[in-house]
Amino acid sequence: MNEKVKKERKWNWNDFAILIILVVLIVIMAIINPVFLTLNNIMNIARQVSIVAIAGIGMTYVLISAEIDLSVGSLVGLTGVIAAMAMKEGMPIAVACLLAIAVSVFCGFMNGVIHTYVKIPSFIVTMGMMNIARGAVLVLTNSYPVTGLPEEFKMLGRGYMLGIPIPVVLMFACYIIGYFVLKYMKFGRSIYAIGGNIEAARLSGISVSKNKVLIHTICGLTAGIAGVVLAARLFSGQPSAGNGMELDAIAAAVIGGTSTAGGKGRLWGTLLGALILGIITNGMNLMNISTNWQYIMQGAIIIVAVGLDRIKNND
Amino acid sequence: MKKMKKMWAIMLVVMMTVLLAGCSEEGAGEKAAEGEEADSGGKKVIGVSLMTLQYEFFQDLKAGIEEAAGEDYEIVFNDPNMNMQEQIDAIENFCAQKVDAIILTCVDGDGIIPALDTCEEAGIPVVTVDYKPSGGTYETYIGSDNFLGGQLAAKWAMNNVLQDIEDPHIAFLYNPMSIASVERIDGFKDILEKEKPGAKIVAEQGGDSREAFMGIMEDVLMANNRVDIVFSYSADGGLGSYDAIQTLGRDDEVSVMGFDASAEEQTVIKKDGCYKGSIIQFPDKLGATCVDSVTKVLNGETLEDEIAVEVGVYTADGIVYAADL
Repeated sequence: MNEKVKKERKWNWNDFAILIILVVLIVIMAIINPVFLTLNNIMNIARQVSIVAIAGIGMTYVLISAEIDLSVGSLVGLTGVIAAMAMKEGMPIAVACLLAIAVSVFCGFMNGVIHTYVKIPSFIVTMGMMNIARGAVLVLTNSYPVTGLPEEFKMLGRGYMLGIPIPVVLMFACYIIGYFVLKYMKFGRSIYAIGGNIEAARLSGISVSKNKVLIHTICGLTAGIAGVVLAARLFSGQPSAGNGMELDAIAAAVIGGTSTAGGKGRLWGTLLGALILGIITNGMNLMNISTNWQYIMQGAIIIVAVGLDRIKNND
Repeated sequence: MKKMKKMWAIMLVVMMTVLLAGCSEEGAGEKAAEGEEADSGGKKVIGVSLMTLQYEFFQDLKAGIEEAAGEDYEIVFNDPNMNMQEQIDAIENFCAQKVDAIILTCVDGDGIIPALDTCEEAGIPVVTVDYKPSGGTYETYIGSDNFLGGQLAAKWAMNNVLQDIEDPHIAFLYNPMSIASVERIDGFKDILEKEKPGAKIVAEQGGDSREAFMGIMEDVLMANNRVDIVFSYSADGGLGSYDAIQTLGRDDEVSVMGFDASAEEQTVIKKDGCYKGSIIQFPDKLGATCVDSVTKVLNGETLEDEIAVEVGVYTADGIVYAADL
């Protein structure tokens, strides 16, 4: 009994650590620059982080299952370019977006299948996919951006719904579904089991292979959604879009308390992690602090956040 | 279960074989050029290695070289994709296959020196373009003048955008990884300081992609109620700013000047909105000048150390040249 109470308190403290970092950041930024806390700027930050945050959902799933996906950034680029090209071919916007997302889902599925059935570590498989997808983008576009898209597509990236930017609405929708799946569905619980102890999971009757394929497929799905939103924001298919975004997504997840060793993680933490990264960039831009310092700041935050998590877990 | 796994494995192997076979067919032409001395039917061979093909600029440069080479030269092409080691390997391969000349945009000005030494030993002339090596031996450096480009952008903006503003508020976007970008910004500042001493630089931020620049510009616009003009070192920066300005609905007060005049920039500039102009380099002219220089070198002529190819300002009213300002 005593043990249990202690455990719960531990969790609470952990949950607070990241919130404290976030609040401290917000207070500091707000004091230094009053513009920071204006409604306009808050919307602006939310819109800026929405893409990494969406891609972070799948990444969190993958990390909890003790795997990794390095192809996310390239898939974001691939999706954007395919959507843009399909639209230029005269496809309706919705169909073009779904087609592009389907391609990304398929790539995620292949990641999962190759990883599970050929037994190549996910690090290697997804690194291969990262190069294949980026190469495919360059072949498809010949390195030229795809432009001249239908005006309505802009809405998806720049429009508002009830005063909230559409990318942010989409982000919340994805998080609500993602949270529900991870917390309450059998599949979601299996992810924790697989990441915590794969043998135990197997012995307790969880179909590890099937679940792993599904996890990677979902990562492809969220990367695809992020890719379409990014293309809408840029109103073009950029061959270099999403370059390095997998690292941002991983950073958001680990700042949010997801363990790269697997078995541990929380989805709302990833959202806060993405927000923290976004606030650092935004705040330092508002103050006109050189981008070079932003990298240092972001790196420091990653180490501090994960360090705090570790210390609290060990004592 | 085991059978199933085996099937997957076999399917994969088959798929990959098919894929690889497809690739090698396409690559056959290039492969023939590697290894032994290129068989070009008596034509002279130029080895070309550009920094990357990820940007339109280099695509156009390559096209310019190919067009100028026409039927006179055989081109052996290498795309190191920003990887210094790969470029050095490619240069060494060029030397091994005894090409007649090399056209080169190095990935890094210092890192390329050993490869230039190799070329010197092999007696193969090298013409460098767009990025000047910091040492080594080469015939000439051909480039658009970046500082001049920045100056040109500033001069044009003074006359056509900022003519009535005494204390313009300006934002600069650059790329911390690129010397060329710093030179462009410095060129702009040089004119700015002389002609508008009251100017205020409200932001100076670095980035490397259109997404990044869009985010930066959104933040800059948040922080500043007044920004009269943004000058970016590249098309990505200019278009990213343009995206941000449109998202925040401030097209009527903020003007954009870019660099590179990419196809997309040209389309936007022609709309005659807030995207006022972009410095246009002529990568095709650069390419033609490269091939021309190679011809001269092979004919035994000595070249100038540096050859500057002109730049202009692409505007809604057409291209304005340095001589017109």
